[in-house]
Amino acid sequence: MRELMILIEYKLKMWSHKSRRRSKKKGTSIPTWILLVIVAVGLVGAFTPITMLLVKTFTALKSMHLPGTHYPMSEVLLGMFGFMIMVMLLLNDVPSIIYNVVSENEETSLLFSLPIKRSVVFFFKIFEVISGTALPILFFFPFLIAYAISVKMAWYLVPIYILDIAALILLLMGIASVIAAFVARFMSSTTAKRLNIIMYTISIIFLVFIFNLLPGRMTTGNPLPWMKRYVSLATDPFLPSTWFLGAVKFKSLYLTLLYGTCVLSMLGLWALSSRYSIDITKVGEKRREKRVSITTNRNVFGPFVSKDLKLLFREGNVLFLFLYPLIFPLIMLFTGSWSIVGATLFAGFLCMDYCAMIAGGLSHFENQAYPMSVLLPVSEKRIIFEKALISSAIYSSLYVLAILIALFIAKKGWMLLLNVPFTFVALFEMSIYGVISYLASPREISADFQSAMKGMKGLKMMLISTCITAGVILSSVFGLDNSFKIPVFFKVLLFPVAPSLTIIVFWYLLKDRLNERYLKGLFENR
Amino acid sequence: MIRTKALVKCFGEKIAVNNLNLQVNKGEIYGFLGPNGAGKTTTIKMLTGILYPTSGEIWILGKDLRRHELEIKREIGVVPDEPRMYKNLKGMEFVSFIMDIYDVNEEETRRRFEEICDVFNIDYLDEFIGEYSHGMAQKLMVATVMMRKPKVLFLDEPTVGLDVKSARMLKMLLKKYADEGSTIFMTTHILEVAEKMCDRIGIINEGELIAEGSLDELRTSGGKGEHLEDIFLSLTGANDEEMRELVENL
Repeated sequence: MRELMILIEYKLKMWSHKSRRRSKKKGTSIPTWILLVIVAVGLVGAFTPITMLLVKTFTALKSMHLPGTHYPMSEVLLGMFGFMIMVMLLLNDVPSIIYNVVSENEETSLLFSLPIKRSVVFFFKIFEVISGTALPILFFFPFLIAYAISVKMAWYLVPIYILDIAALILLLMGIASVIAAFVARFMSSTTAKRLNIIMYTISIIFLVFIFNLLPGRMTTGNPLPWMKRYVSLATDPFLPSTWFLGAVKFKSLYLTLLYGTCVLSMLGLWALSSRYSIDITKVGEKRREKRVSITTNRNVFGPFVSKDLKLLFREGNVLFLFLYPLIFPLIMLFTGSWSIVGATLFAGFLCMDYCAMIAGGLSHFENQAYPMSVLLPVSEKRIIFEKALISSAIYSSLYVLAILIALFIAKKGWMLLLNVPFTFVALFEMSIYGVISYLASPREISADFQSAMKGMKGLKMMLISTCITAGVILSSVFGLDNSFKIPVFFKVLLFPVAPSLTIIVFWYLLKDRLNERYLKGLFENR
Repeated sequence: MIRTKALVKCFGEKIAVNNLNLQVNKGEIYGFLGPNGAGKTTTIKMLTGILYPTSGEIWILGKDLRRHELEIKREIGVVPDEPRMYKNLKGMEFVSFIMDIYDVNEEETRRRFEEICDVFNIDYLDEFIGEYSHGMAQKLMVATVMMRKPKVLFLDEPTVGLDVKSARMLKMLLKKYADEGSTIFMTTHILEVAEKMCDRIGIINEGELIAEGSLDELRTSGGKGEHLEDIFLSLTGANDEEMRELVENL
């Protein structure tokens, strides 16, 4: 136990040192406790309105019953969320456990070389996995809190309620560990890592969708017909989420099932921990092929673009970076939270910001392989331009797709498509800026693809993205959308003059940094 | 093949390389030695176009590096001390990438690459580079450089991380390439390698070339001792007696 606490303590210290080191480099050093207070206040601020709305929802549904069930609808809703927690935890934790716990990595190898029991190392790694999946669980807190408030839960029952939640999470961790231990024989750690990222991305998108869709559905019209479809899932007696539901109401059968299986799963975890090993022979692991065929890719895009595309799409979290600008504006539009104008602006802003980030991330590959790119018979300008081309081409496509889907949903505003060519050019310029900005800060470069644009650099990027979005897209929206009653002269100023000026000014500011000497200096300064 | 004139590199106020004048001829294996921090890697970085010199000239294959950088890079090969490649590419994808970038004769280069793979026992090309050990990555790096048969080869500590057999194979391969007319410029800390392989040796200390020539020439130019290690230590100011005393006192 002592050793486990020491490992957890040092892990928490490392996490806090990492953020403090980053902020110290920029000349700002915010104490960790202040950061925690800010985060806590932010979370409370963000969750309070939704919690109040959910309290109203649960209270209203308390008195409704679906025919054929003895559960009030408020409990069916809680059961649904319990089911969602269960599915999300299992889908996220199984690949995460395979990647972080069961597969070989530097940290585990180091820990095994120390005089620490293997079971302790196992539980420490499980703690890391739970910390990693804390975010999806955090999103469900408003529902759990709202339910407790709606049933006017007595204060002395709250600790038991919290224990029930903990028992459910521990039970699910146990199940996930057993599944992971089995699946690890068939899955490589690289596949597990990718699956982990995909599941995490799907969870976040799903949560945003639910948070935007459900409050509206619950409080307008009659929710009973569509909730009927999910009753069986929410109240299936064989599911741990239903045992949780029964345990919350102090039904002895479900209390026994929940805590009994929780204890059994902990025993299962203990059994696994004592046999903890990272040298698992994969079923069907192929022998090395002495001869592999080497084919060249002499295509129109060139070897650098082909290589960068391969590296980009093998980066685990890139799926989220592509889906986010596409999906989130559309969710907001679909759920009625925003209009076509808001969705277009948001999609444009995200595309601007993320294409600069991706372009910077592409430069990160060259940094990893340094001095490879400098030794090749390719000019630095070509390297930068090709990375900018990849990033801007991807985000231009995503922007057009987002706009087309949004216009299809809204069934109006087709004139907004006229701003697309200006957006293409602006995205290319943002990508170039992203690459140069990344290369200009060698000391801040870390091993993480996505951290290419974090901290103050990320903030600066966001400000520039905002300005470019305002100049190119916002002005186009006001200039092209007929619902804004603006004199013709100003409409022309807003579109196409403002976008053109924005692009020209931005290029003028960038061009000085595109000379060979400056670019060589960027690559030289590792 | 390689010529420098009054080459200087400063990092702020620190002079890393000071007034370096080198000449390496065709078919020569030139060993560039020096203590840690002497300026060996900085020199190689300037010669291969990674760093711009503060002042001075560099001529490779009769061309000014500053004006014909890309042309020269096409003709040279560089094996850096750390074999850093793109981790998320498989070995064979990296080889294809190199072949495409250099626009080589596919058939001939592929054949040569496969022969080198047999020599170095490279049978892991369908695995990701990020999963390679240092030695595996080093062998792949050497293979991708040598498959092009460059006219000038720069190697920075090439045998580090290689197993005994692979290191021996590499030495034999370098000798063969030199006999066929390639120029080889290498740095190494393993003085037996330099002693056995190099036609000429240059010793750099604190940014300045303090001695240059064949092993016999180095002996006569003030280096004390039979072996290169003794000559090197005497020329770089290391005192055997002092070192022995320090170790005894530990």
